[in-house]
Amino acid sequence: MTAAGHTRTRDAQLLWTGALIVAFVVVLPLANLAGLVSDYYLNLFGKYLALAVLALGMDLIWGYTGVLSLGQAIFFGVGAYSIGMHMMLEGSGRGVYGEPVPDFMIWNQVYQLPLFWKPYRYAPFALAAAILLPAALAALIGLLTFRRRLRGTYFAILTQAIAFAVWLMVNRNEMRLGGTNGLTDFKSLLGFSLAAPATLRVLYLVTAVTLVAAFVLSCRLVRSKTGLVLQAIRDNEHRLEFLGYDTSGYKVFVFAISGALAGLAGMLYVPQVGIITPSQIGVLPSLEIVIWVAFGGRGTLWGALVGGVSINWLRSVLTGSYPRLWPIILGGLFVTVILFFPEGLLGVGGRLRTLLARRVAVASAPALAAPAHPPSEKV
Amino acid sequence: MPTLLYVDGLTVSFDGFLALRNLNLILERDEKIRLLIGPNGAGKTTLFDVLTGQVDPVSGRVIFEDRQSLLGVGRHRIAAHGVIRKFQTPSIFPRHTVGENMALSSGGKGCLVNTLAGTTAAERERIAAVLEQVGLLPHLGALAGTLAHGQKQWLEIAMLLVQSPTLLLLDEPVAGMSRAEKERTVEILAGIVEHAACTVMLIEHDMEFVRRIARGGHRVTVLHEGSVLSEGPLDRVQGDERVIEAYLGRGRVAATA
Repeated sequence: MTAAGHTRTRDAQLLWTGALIVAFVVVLPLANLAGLVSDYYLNLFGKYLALAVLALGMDLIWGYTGVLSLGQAIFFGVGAYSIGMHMMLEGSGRGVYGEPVPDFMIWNQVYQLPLFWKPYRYAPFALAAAILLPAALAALIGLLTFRRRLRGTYFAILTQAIAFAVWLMVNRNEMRLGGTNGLTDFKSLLGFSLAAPATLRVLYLVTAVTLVAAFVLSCRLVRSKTGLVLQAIRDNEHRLEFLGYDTSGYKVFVFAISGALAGLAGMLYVPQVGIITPSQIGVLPSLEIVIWVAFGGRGTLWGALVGGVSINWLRSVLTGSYPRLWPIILGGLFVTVILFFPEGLLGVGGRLRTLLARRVAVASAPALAAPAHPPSEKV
Repeated sequence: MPTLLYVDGLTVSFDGFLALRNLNLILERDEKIRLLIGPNGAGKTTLFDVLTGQVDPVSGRVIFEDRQSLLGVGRHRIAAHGVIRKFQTPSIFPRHTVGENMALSSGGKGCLVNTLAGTTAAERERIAAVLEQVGLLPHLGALAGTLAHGQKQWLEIAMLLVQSPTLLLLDEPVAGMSRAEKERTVEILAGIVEHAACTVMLIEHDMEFVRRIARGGHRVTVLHEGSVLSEGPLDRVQGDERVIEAYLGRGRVAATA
């Protein structure tokens, strides 16, 4: 590829990013205003776009750096519960019992707000915690593992074990996080009623804009020199150490960023869906995120985006008609992709394009090759 | 005269097998290139392993630039002192472009700096200059994995050069190369010897290649069974009875076996 080729791909990237912004930030909300897209669908898409942010984080740590984390749903959960706790407190006093603590605490005979809930009264704290807490948690896990040269499968198994432990803990009523029922029955966010369609429209817009911002920042990261280092870690970590790099530092950094993106996704997801339960933060949801990214195409940010949105859309469509078959369909998709399209949907697209280009080249080749042929035919 | 590298009484034992036996070697600071030859198992690569911190010797000293000991120092630190090594097989990043491979080799290695700043214009100029030197500048944007075998070797040499080494250790750089690629490598090495500020230490089996490099009167060291057998200009070394014995003796054993 020449320098001109680089500018061409960069232009193409810009074009596609522009198209993304126009489609989700402009066209969809306008169509909703014009009555072409129902509020229900806009809300559904808001949910998909929030989950796409989660997929972006997974792609940075797995697709680009080659570190398989099977605990991304924990970080999603920290973000989700942070905003959920804040919304519970915002609605306190307006519950069935009119008590100053969330209703589920009354069922557990808790009449005093637990200490760790108190700071969540403040919206800025809750919003910051939703992003920074998961980032800090990821950095801590990263420091304890990468510095000790825990790699590959061992890291994947460890994160899965942590996901399982967190799931078990959050399920218990003693954690004061709503147990198996989780947090729900939110009334309002920052003073805006969640029952009002206008609030949900704004939430959609905020999600779409956040996704675009996260996407652009991730693009910049993977194209920076740090991005080169991350991909070199994926391809040959030992060689990189020999060049003088402390690779564990880079891995902690990108794991923290992927944790922050997961927390951000959880924060955007919960107000639009209206509920967060432990079933969304355990081992299975963590595995599902891997499937989204593998399906869309790991190692490309577009792949994460496409995978995150398309699989969740498929789920909405198919669980409506074949709820029992969905896990089998999802598993089947994963196996098919891994076996036949290891580069995911985007890889298939790329392969089709080169195939098409070759066909066009073959079609135009005879005209070019014609003058060269006659002499050889005489022989 | 100040010495660049002073190797004194180096002995390396692999479970009782002595890979190096009381090896002594001195590199002068104004020496441009030193060729290291010897039959298989003579200890050439093991010597490089000791110099770069991969293998710890049983006894002996390695003093770099008259003061710095290279024994018991971390690999990163040795690289930071300017002792940079090329392995036998090309180890580059195949899915990065040639330019990206070079960018990874040059400049800062810290995470924060590389996220915020990246490769500077001065670094980019230096990268272009070094790539020009090995003839890969036209391939700046090509994926390193798509290069020919010889080009990969040259890329790795360029990745080492851009780190401004003081002592460049090359382990069989022409192994597996075609005749044309070898010719080109001789030119590249001649360029490095002439222009770069570093000293090159080169392991090679290919005697024709050694002859071409050593033509400039550079010194050749012959290792045999872990110690220095002979040292000096190529003509003298080749006429040395012990060297002929070491090489031919083995050949005779192989022929009768």
